Amino acid sequence: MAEFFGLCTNEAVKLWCKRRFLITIALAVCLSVLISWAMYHESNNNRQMNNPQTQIQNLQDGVQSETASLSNSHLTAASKQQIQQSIQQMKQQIAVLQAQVAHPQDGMAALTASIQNERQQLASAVTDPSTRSSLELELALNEYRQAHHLSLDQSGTQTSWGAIKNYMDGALTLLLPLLIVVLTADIVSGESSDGTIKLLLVRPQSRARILLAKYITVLWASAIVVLTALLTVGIFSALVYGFKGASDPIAVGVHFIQTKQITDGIVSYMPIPDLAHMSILPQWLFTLDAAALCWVACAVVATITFLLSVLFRSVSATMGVAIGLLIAGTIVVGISAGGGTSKWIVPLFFTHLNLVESWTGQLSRTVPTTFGLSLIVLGAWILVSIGVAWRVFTRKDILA
Amino acid sequence: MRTTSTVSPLSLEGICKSLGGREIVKDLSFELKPGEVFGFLGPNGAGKTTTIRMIAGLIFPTKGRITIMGHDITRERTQAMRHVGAIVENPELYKFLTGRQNLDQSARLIGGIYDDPAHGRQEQGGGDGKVTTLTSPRRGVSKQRIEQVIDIVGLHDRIKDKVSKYSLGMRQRLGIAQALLNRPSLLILDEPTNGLDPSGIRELRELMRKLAYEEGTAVFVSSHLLSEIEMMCDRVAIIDQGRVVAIENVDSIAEQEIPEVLMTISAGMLEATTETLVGIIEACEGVTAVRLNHDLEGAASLTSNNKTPLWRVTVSTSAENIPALIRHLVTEGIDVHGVQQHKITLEEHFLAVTGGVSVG
Repeated sequence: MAEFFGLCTNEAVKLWCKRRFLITIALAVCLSVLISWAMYHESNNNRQMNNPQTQIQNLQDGVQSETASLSNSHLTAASKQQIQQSIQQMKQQIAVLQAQVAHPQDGMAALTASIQNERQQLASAVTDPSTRSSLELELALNEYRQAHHLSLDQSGTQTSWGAIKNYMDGALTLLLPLLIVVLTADIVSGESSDGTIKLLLVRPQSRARILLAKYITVLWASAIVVLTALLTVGIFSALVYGFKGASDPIAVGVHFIQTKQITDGIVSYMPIPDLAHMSILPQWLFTLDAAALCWVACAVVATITFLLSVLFRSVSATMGVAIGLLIAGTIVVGISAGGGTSKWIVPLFFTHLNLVESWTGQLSRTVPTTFGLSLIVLGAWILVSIGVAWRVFTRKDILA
Repeated sequence: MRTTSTVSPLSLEGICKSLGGREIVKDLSFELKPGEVFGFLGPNGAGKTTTIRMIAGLIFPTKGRITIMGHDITRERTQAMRHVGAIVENPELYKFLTGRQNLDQSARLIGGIYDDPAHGRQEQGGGDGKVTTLTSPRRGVSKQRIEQVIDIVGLHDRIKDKVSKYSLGMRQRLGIAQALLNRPSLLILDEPTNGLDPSGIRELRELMRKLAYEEGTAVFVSSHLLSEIEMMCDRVAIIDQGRVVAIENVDSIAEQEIPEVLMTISAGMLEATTETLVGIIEACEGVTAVRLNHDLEGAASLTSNNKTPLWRVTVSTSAENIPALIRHLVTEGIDVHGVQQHKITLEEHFLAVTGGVSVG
């Protein structure tokens, strides 16, 4: 065991001294800051657009320009009437918004009102299953808020937790996997191309042990890269959005069932949420679990890259094939997803890389899968990759 | 000197290797004795590197059995490799690590690094004739041993530098240092003098001799330089087209004499033609053949020495007959300017057994 720890130490020393690890970490930090900044910029824009003051200003501008157009003498009486109607509507909206600004609604009162409204609607004859499920989901979240004495925030401002979740959704299918590929690609192929693999294999260590030490190194290094990326986003978000919203509810385990619908003679598929296995978590707990899922997804990418690194003797071939797979995967999923009928993409690993969305259930909107199925598929990929890598590495002739 | 154990440090039995449908090594068998320096010689593509890779466990033989200190390298790989120190082709080291970090890597692969304050004493106590006294009781390498191998190869001043800044010769030294870390019973050196300067080569030769004679290490060394093998090795295996064509003691090859004498003669007072000179020599008792040495253009090799033309002739006769031959020539009026006994060199022997393929 102490001997095996020595092998892991060797790998850690090499990883560190080769600078590849540091470069990957630096890349993770820089790109995460860039993405966080873009998200912050976007949420600022949205908030400005939704601000009542801005809306009032926009509506007043509209009233002015419409009034000006009334003076045009070529207008027919009918169109004049139309314009006057729209002016009237805008003025009413301005009045409503001004009332809101003057007497801001209390969050708790809004929550109670919202729950009442949802219950009423559910009790009434809402028959559309899609609308019903959405209402039930909304009600469940609101009841959770009520039980935990949380108010309903209607301002639509971003929270740190929401920002981290957005980042995970965006980065988990491509950015983080690419970083993992950069980190992992040379772990075996680098030794093959430099000829240093001979140093490793003429020593009293079995090839399987050498390989295992390398694999363990790849796993913990991937964990550090993922953690660094998420912490970067977390720290950035905490600085710009603050810490509120940690106990806000989020639903996981919603499963969308594709239902055939025929409207006006056109057949379409409609994802209808099934809440049977749904559970509601506070945001902070969700974020921790989701971070672990990010690592699992990256471990899958690391394992497959690791296999490629065993198969190819050059680092660039390993990296090229791995990156090619990821990008092609993104395209394939993009083309095939939707409609939820493309069953053939289910066994592919890149379909399930967004494990966080698979967990919440959003993935089942576009791909016919469940969280359990995603875990099984990814687990199978890991086992097969390890098996093939082990078999090839312990038997191949080292000719480099 | 260490008492030699009876187990052969390295033995190959009927080793065959095919790669991509081509048979590269065919039925190779030989055995090393403890404490001998064994040369491995052959032209390019003869299967030298393939054989060394099989011994080092980097590629697997298609057929046959390799044992190191009695351990089959396929079935008891770990035990076998505990006795091996190796440089396969160029010493490929981690260029982004320092010399010492490279040695640490090797030490951890051997089993770990530990502190052993009694290192020096143990070293001196190795005279009771047992192999085990020189093998550390625990696995791994002591810090003191690491310092010792740095000393042996003389890399103290540069050991903290990155290997990327080393010259080829320094890399070779570091490669040798890492090969010596575990006090191997079998040291495999593939072209070890590559990149070493003449003094480095001499040091290496002395080191190999010392290891072989004082520590009983068997050294398996391949080289394309015949002269080197001749100077370093006790025995040599000559390999050609995947087969061992000869295994011989280097001394016995050097002692072999070809019954030929190279003579430089002139006609002296005689008005003699080439034919008459050859006739005079042939007339001597015990001479079986006379050959005029030709220069590149094919003319008889003549050099002018104070207007006297000199002939170079190769005379086939036994060594004992030389005095009689000289007397005969002198009485016949031929001046003898030089007599040289022709001894076979390893190179000629090599060319003879490999059928004249040049060595590279």
